[in-house]
Amino acid sequence: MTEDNVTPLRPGPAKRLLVIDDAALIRAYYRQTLEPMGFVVEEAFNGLEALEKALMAPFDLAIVDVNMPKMDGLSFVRKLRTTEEIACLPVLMTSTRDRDSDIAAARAAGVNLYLVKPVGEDDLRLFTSIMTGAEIP
Amino acid sequence: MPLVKPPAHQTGTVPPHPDRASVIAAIDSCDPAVRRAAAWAARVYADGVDIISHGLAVEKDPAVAEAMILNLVAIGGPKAAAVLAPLLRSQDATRRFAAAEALRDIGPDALPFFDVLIRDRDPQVRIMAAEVARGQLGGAAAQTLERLLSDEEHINVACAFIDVLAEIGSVETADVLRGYAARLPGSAYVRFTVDAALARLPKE
Repeated sequence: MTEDNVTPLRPGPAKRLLVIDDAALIRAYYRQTLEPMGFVVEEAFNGLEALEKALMAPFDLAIVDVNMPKMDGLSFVRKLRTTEEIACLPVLMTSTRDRDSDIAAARAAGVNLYLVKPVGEDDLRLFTSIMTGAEIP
Repeated sequence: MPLVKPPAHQTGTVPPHPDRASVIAAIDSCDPAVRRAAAWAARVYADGVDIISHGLAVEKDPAVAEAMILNLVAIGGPKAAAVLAPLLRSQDATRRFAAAEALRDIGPDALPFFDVLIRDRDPQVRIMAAEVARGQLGGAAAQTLERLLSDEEHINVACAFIDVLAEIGSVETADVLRGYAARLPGSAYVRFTVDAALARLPKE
């Protein structure tokens, strides 16, 4: 799907995404895929930075990696779920780890949806739209 | 008031230059601050790596584990690298990432471990090993990644290699990346990764 045939979001306030990944390449990939749909994309390098950003401004969805320095994705989600102001933020976790135990650990931490990398552009648009209540492309 | 001063690991303090026996006792203390101080103090002893390794194996507190890992980096050498290398398999994501960063900081002494881990059967270990190559392992690590990329079957591992090669690769790396992209022409993710890497590589 090219930028020309990307389905834009419904009219209304833009949905805000917090993309959390230590790899600049991955953050850029998500931004390039989702911004043309009208999503507002903020980035964080690790879980600690993400917590600060989530507490400072509202988001509609956090897209979170597992392997990160300082605070990994699972630790971030556990902290998120026990922090009253941001406990309900939906979380889409993406990871290269594909074992059942990894997915179970993510669910136990409070992850809403777990996708194994690489996440294709169409899947990323689809699941991001579903989880934010945006129009499905 | 007790007549006999209790051991350091029971009082919650470690003297500035404790004797070796106190350090060994303190690394098992129930007080995280004492364990952290013991890891620092262990650096001056010849078997400091062994003392810290013993503590790290059972350490549950992430902050103390990180401090222990940093002290292993400060000691450096192949023995410290040998303690850190298995941690790339840790189920704790923060710990395995800290270990990769530590091996990166240790530098050339980590190279023999990198050479083994980057060929590990577990793709997750290969991904973490690629992180080690971002450090000061020199051109040898880049050449290893280039060679292995040609045969890498796991797309996430390949993209991890490409991301690292974008940082440490040379002019010659570009052809290797184009060759990998040609193997998977239908993958937008690979195309994006390779294009981004090519833009970051030195041009001459």
